[in-house]
Amino acid sequence: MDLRTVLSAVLPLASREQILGDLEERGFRARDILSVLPGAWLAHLRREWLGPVPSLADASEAALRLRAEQLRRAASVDLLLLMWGQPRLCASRQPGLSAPDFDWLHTRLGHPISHRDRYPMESLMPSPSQLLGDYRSTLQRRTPGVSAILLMGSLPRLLNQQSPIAWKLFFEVSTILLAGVLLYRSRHIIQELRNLNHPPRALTA
Amino acid sequence: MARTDSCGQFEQLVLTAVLSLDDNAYGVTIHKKVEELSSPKSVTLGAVYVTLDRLEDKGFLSSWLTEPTAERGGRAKRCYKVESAGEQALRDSMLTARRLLNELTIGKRSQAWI
Repeated sequence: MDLRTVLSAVLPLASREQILGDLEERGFRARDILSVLPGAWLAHLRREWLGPVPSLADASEAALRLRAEQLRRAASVDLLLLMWGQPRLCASRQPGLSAPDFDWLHTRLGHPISHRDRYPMESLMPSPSQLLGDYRSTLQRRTPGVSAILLMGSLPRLLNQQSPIAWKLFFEVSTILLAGVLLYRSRHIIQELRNLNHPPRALTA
Repeated sequence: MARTDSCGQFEQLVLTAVLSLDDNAYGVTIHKKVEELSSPKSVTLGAVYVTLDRLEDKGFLSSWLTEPTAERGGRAKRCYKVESAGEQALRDSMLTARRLLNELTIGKRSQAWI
């Protein structure tokens, strides 16, 4: 068993070809191998969650749907922040779409791209409150555990109005609890989010 | 208001490397060019891969696989190209750097920075 075989076995399939080629070209240096492995897996796991990025050159309707799906999943992170009563954190992420995303959707929808008309695209995507409503109702219906998380997320804000210290204490404890619950239920939650079928209005219009 | 993706310093280096390499921008050549640009600081191949991946996710780069070649053990290359959003982000970063330079080189503190 040589180094190539070992590396083939430990590298993610999606990037194996190009990484092995690059390592081969550089003579399989130990420093390269050690630096490449964690990054390759990190990228692979992120893509597993968000899905592959469609090529802009041959973007089709299917690619548009895929990108919209990615944007929807990215928005679910906003939802989790909202659920956990972190509107400030959530606001810093809004609208959850990057400028290239807007440009890309503009191009696909046949609109001219300009700085001025980039912003109206926000109105074509679900707002945070819409998302919150949609996900809340769906998740509460399907996953009782998520209801508990939603309840825990709303309590700190109530406590904050009464006593900052109590809120901080509650927040610390509940963060640990939430982390445990999320770890335990993450597979179910991810599945629930994947099952949701609320495409952005831009696609259904 | 929409958030505009900006470039970190390392991302600027990688974007510049891909731009300057034209059609020959793939892992090894990009790494070599980034090392030249960031000299004397050394750069790992893994850091370049992670950044390329992130820039692709941001829509700043696009990539494609080439035909396998013998010198790479019959393996394909993933080549990269800077998209218009990437060029714009790099241009914005340059303007910021230029403003910083102007601020520091014109005025009271100019002597210390020239």
